[in-house]
Amino acid sequence: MQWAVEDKEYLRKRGFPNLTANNVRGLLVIGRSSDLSAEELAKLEGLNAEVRGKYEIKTFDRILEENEAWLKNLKEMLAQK
Amino acid sequence: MDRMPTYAICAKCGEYFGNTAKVPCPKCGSYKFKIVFNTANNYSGSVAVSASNSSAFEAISYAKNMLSSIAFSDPKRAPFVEPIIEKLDVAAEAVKKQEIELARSQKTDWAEYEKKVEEYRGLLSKSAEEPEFQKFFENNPVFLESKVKTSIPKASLGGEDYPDFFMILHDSSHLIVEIEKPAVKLFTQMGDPKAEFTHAQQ
Repeated sequence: MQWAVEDKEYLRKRGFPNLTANNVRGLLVIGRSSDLSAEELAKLEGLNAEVRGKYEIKTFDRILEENEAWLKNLKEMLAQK
Repeated sequence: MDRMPTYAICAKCGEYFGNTAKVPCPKCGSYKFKIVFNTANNYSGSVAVSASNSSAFEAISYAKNMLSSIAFSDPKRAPFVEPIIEKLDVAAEAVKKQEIELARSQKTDWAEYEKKVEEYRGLLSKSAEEPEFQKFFENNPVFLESKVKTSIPKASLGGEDYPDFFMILHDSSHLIVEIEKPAVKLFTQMGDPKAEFTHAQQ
């Protein structure tokens, strides 16, 4: 995530002139929720709250949960029409 | 998701008061106050739908709730507030229609998307390693961020020194993605972040 701050010039040269410190954030995908105790999950949430706006840490299971929920919600929205 | 404000600050006397339904300010009686949200509560570890697709509707619902509570706590103000609530109802309907159209345009092939969800579930079930997930995310960047417009993998960015993906989003912001090992333990027995976890954050 630190890379985002350190090498913006490189990205500007590659054609991303709009890149500023305010419009970059990070996503770290790591670990499994099933390997975490309730206390550790709470700790992870706390950590995410601390770094909010800069980057977010998600487990691989969380990615699945989000996509399942996304699919379910959009299906429901379409069904309402 | 809890989106209620934590407290309000009176614009006249600076008094903090917890229940914003109890207008006016309990100290000076002013109706002007600033609502302060509890950002920790706003953060949710289990946000189901991307904020980009729900925030407009949620914001309208929240405004309606606030106005309803004002009308309830001060009936004298109800005649002024109720027409606004009616207009917000119309706006909520319009936003909902837009969201449906957006949903249609973003993911038209539902059967295909469901297959992808199933494929990802399969990777988790068989405890796949990092490279398999990277390959999956390379082909399906929308799994990581629903607002993705362009996703550039590490190889195109410049190689090993760079993050796994650099994404340009529809709102013109950017997302840098780092994929680490699924099997890594995040915390030590003492409850501290493990070195591998800390390193990944850097």
